[in-house]
Amino acid sequence: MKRKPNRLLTDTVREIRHTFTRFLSLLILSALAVCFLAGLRAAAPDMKLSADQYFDQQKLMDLHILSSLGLTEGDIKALAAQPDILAAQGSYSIDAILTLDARDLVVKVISYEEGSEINVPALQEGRLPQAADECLVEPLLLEETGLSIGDTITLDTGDGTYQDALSVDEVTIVGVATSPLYISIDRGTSSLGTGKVSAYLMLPSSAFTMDYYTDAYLLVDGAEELETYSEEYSQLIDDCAKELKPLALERCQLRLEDANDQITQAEQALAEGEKETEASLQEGQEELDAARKELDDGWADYQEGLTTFQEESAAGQKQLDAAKAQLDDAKAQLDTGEKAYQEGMASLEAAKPALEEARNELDAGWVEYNSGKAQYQLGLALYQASTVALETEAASQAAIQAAAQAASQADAQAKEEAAAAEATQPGSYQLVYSKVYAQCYSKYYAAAYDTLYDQAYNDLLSSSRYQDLKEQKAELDQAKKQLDAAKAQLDAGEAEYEDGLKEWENSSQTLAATRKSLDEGWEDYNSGLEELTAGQKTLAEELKQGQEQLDQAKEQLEEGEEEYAQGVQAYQEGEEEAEDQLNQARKEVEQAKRDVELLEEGQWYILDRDTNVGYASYSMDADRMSSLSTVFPLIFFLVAALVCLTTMTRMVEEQRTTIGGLKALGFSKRSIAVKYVGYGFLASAIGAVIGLAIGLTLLPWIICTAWLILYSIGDILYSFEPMTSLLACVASIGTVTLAALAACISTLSASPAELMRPKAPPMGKRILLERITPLWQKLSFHYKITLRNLFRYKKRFWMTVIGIGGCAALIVTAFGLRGSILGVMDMQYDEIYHYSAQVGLVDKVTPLEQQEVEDALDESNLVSGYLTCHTASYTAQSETYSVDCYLQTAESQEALAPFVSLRHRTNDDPVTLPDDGAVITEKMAILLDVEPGDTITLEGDSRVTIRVADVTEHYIQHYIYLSDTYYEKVFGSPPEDNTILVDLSTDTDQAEELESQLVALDGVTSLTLITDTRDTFTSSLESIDYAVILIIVCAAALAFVVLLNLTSINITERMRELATLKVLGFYDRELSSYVYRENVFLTIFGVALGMVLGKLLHQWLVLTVEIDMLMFGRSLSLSSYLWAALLTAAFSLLVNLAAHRKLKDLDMVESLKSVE
Amino acid sequence: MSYISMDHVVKRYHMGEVTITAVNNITFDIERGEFVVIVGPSGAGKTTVLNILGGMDSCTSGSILVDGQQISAYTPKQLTAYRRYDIGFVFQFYNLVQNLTALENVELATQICKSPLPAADVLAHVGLQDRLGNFPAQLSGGEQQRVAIARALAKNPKLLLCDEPTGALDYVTGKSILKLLQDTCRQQGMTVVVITHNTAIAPMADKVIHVKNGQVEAIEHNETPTPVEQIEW
Repeated sequence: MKRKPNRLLTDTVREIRHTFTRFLSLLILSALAVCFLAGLRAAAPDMKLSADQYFDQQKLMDLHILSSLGLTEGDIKALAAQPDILAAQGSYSIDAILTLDARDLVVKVISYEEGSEINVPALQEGRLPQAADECLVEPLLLEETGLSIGDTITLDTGDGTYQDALSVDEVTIVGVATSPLYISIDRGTSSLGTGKVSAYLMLPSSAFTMDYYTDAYLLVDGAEELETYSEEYSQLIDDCAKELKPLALERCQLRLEDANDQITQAEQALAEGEKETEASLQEGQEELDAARKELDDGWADYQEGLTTFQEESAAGQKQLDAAKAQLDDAKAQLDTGEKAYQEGMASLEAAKPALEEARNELDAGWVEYNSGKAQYQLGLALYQASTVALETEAASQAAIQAAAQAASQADAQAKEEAAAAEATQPGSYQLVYSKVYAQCYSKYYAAAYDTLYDQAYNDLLSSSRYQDLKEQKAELDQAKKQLDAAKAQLDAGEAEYEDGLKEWENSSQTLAATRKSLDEGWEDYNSGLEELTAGQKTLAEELKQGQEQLDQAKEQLEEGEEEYAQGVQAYQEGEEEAEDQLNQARKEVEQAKRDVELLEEGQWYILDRDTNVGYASYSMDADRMSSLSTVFPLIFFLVAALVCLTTMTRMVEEQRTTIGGLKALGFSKRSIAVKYVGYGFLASAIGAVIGLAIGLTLLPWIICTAWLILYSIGDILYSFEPMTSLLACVASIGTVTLAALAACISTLSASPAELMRPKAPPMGKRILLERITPLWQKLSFHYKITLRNLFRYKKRFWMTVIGIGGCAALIVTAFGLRGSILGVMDMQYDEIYHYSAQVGLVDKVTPLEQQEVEDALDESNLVSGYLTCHTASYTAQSETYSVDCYLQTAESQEALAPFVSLRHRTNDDPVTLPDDGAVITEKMAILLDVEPGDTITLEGDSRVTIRVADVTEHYIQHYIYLSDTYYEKVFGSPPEDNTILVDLSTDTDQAEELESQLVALDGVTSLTLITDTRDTFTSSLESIDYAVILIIVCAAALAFVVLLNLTSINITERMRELATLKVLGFYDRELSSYVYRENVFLTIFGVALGMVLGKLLHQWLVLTVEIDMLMFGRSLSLSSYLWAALLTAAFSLLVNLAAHRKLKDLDMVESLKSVE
Repeated sequence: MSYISMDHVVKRYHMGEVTITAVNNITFDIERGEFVVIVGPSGAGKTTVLNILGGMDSCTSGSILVDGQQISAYTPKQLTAYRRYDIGFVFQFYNLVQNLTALENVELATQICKSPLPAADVLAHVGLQDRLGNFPAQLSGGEQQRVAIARALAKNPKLLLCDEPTGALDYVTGKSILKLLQDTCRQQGMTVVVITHNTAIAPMADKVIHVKNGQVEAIEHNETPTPVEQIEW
């Protein structure tokens, strides 16, 4: 029987052909969804797989053993003999300076063992070294230096730990190779040069002359078969590492005994050295002291001589000066005398005429006087004669009167007394009378005479006769007085004249004497002057001689002094040298003591691959990629599925009458459904396969290639992630197919008659906005229609809004994520950290070493500040989680503030560093799920519990900040300084010098520049940028397809309406804007929804994508929104343009057709 | 010179290698204010004639003059303007915008015209003064067609073209629509062209154009058109 062609199938095939655009859009959506989901998800496993392949090929060590004591051949053998260990190999790793013309590079020199089974270098060019002076270099070194194979380089191992580590200085580059130990661009730090290791190179182990291996690398049995980043692998390695611990202890003990002996010897040698130095120093001091003494004596003598000379010369001079003074005095006196003499002579001459004049005057006076005198004497004689006459008259008058008076009185009295005497003695009377009379008479006479005389005299005198006499007398007296005065005057003048004459004569005599003595003086003076001149000459000669002698003596002494100064300098140099030696010795002693302490703690560090920086950061990057790929594709997928669903639903609805017809013809529901379900299935399945093919190759290729810029991992290994791939395909195909089925089922269940009738178009309805009449009336007619249409087709509205919103959200999130990731660097290194370098001090640093470092920092003018603090690494644990973190102490909040900002992220309020709690970083608080007031446990060197006081903003790594006080409270001892945070300007040549200077110090183990750290993180984060850009591109593509599809559906659905409008005479432009307006509204709603969704998605995704070590920025920048809106708007515009063409070609005849 | 004049109009469609001649050399005139019915069986090309006359399609050759304008030489843009200002179109399936009320549907047309008639008045004229605010879904078929006619009339066109206006309506309703069209023609002097396959309607026209196989079979002038009420089918 001839098989009849299945016309239903023909119909399906034709359907596809006719609606190829729709088919294609379904296919592309499905492909995009699968590609994105499977591809992004495959990226991380591919990264890890590629790494695993590379590590297996190059036999990357599984375990790495470091020992503080170094490792011996015996250690390696013992390790190799362990049951789980497949192979063990000792290795050297040292730092050296590679000197170039322009600059010096610090390189890591690692040993290369020919035919080694561990850490095999992957040779890229050239050949392997065959002699000790041949080396392999990494490509980076050639890039940095411009060297090439065949060049010879000089290695300087410095004068520290590695001074004599190499037997060769000059090595020839024979090949370029990468070591699996260094897959990232980080090369670690060094105690040489600037402290930054630029590259590594490999030398045959025969070139090393070290006593001990620095490293031991082990391969673990059965590890190669396991995938390196897997749980199983870590488990195996952990177990193995645990089993090695007893061996480690045992070997350490052996080495400790060995080392202790050496330390003791070293200490003895040091003590001896110290003693010797001291002795030689003593000797030198003694010699110098003697020399000093001799010199001092010499100086004393010289001083003495000098003093004597000075004294003597002073005395001589003094004598001469005195003589001269005397002479000068004499001369002065002589001059004075001369002058006085001349003056005397002059006055003498002048006195002579005066004297003569006086004589003449006197002579004239005498003549006058004598004539006066004669006159007077004549007058006097006249007067005297008158007077005598007068007196004689008066006396005669008085004698008469007195005799009368006396006779009467004597008679009276003699009668009385004679009467009295008669009464007593009669008869006596006569006698008595006579007697008394006689007596009384004389008596009374005498008495009366004088009185009477004067009376008479005066009477006479007053008589005019005698009046002239009286006048005469007065005149005479007057004349006499005048004469006497004249005589006195003349006598005085005579005497004066005599005196003057005498004086003149005396003067004359004196002058003559003076003249004589003056002449003698002049003579003396002249001879004295001669003597003085002679004396001066003699003295000058003597002085000259004395000075010469002294000068000679001084010269000798100065020579002696110079010799002594040289001696002193030599001594000081010697002393300094000795001091340096002593310091060195002391330092060595201190270091030796520390070494001894360290030796006692001496242990093996059994490290796994996770401690390899490149290995660990690669893993982190892959994890980041992996977390990124968990959410994004899902959203992407949802949007794609949604649009597929809409498309399929629309299709089934369009085919309503056909379905009705088929049903009426008697086809079973199933066979009808097959057409639509088949349509969907075919589109999605083909899309899924294409998407899978692209997704599993292109996406990992793009991502891995981006990462290969940072890591040297060899070739990319594409894996077929069966689970993810299958899941993606099933999800994609299932969604579309089920959507088709769902749409069919509702339609198929209707009766054929119902289906044949045109589906009643949804009722026009008044929308809510119309009830606000004033507003509604203001709207133009076009907007009324647009708004009605928007709300009428609710399903289409939501489909479109969600579709556009989803895409916008993806774009917002992708941009936001990019901002959050890249913004971290700025936040951390510009706003939180203010220091530019971190200096690591040696463990148990001695005060002297620390002082050296601080001095170097103090002296530099580049350093604007530094903070010495304690940093240690701990594991912080809470009940829920544990993280590795750094503990950092600071004296106080104020001390820390210039270097690290502690603040709350949300409001920038500063966080205080209290004395009763710790400040922890934000991400750590989130991971540990602790809040201020809670406690966390720190496990490291010791195990302590600390109280969380506050949480601070921080983005990279975890830190616990403690005040010194709280540290001491918690740990029981004050923090030991081991880190210095330095704020210096780093972009100058001097900075590099300072760095080299610092690194060269014994107290410094490392110097890490913040810029280097930042660069490392930035380059790592930038690679995630590629992934994010990829997401942006995909989201954009999705947005475009979604918009195109939805607009297309929109137009198809309303073909009749649009055609009618065209018939009514709408211009193409008007028709387009009729459609656009709706699209614009939908796009605006969609974008608005996208903003909200994007914000939520970003918030959530940032948390998901974050790796434990980092905290990404939480805020979503305005530019992210703007980009999303712009892109979506641009796509909307593009799609509208496409729709415009479609509308232009719209056939108006459509409007005449009946409703299908 | 006639108001409308179609002169040797030919329309050919190219479907791949096959060329279909839908209208083959049609010539007829229509005077101003005439009620013209174009009748013919399905596939006779009457819709094509209407499309060409309505400016929705262009002819392959021949000339069309409307009110002295050479329509056949119009660019697409001019054609749109022609549709916009000169033509009123009534569809078989009304083609109302579902989302607009009766009034709004009329307004949709009037908003793009130069001198439209007041929408409400026109609706009142077609007897729908009480249904202005109803959505098409709330109206019966006849009412919807009235709205469609009102929409066409409101534009104040030179020419009213009706494509099977009663095709989707029952007898009574169809009659009332035809009456409305005839009244409009008579009372307002509107030139009305009705396309139908229903020959029974022909007597009501001033001029009946019979089309068959893309050609004009006959043109008959009806000096005394029968009022619609007297026509039965």
